[in-house]
Amino acid sequence: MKTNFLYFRELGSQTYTYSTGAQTFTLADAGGANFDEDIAADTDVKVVVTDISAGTDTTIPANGKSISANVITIAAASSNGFDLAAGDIVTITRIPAKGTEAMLSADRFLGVETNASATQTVISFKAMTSNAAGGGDDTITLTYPSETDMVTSKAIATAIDAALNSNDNGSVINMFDRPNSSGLLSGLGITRLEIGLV
Amino acid sequence: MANNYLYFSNPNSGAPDSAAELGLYSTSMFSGAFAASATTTTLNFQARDNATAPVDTVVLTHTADTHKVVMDELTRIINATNNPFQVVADVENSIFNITGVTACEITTADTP
Repeated sequence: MKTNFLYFRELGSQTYTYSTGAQTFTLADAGGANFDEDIAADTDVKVVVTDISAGTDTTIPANGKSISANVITIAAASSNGFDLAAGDIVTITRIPAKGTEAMLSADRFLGVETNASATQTVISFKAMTSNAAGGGDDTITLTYPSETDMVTSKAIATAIDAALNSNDNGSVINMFDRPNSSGLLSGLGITRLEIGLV
Repeated sequence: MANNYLYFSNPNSGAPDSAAELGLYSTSMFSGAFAASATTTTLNFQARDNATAPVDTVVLTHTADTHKVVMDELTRIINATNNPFQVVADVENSIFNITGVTACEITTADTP
């Protein structure tokens, strides 16, 4: 029998059209509409300005942007940022890092459990980076609207079972690619996917 | 079914006189992969001395934002049936069997 791998990818991009005033942009993060993760540092994201009049893209360097709470500020051009004009498009994207996108081995699957709440289910795997006893597991935490009848959590368990028992030829099984709204778990009303790797 | 074995080389210069300039890992020890940066994906293998942590890793450098392509093609190699010896990234000979991969870095948790 060959090895299947389960693929997960978090959501992490937001686009704005600048009009006027402060060059600040509020991120819908931490499970908001655009970012599954809580964006804590400006270096966690790539900020690109599309200058509509010039038709050019400019990536703002680390010393030209800052973050406070969930608000990204683009500095003025004289401070390594950019002087925005009305209509310019700002695209803020999570920079890939450990925990944003992963494939986990089906033969290291441990279980699916609800997370002592009506809104979360956790999928667990033996950690890919450690065998330490008590070192913790790799986890995929899925959040969805409150349920009273286990429809969503059971659907998640069913999808995982289907993936673990599918395709004996060995492949990457797309469980949930949030940016592309694809995978076996899409369509279940899941609003947040968090990849936790030891 | 017999295991496949994944081959990597990453020479510095001259003779292979540093740790982990070459690595051959059993697919049965492969434990998963994750995006590590915009242009790298980390492959994890259980350490050969069965140590608890860390594991052995191979970091593949590739075209930006193509982690899924790397993962798909790595899985194809892991499950290939044509030959148990599978070259993934052989920097010494400029052989790369995953689209977009241009380099690799082997980090071993063990002392051979």
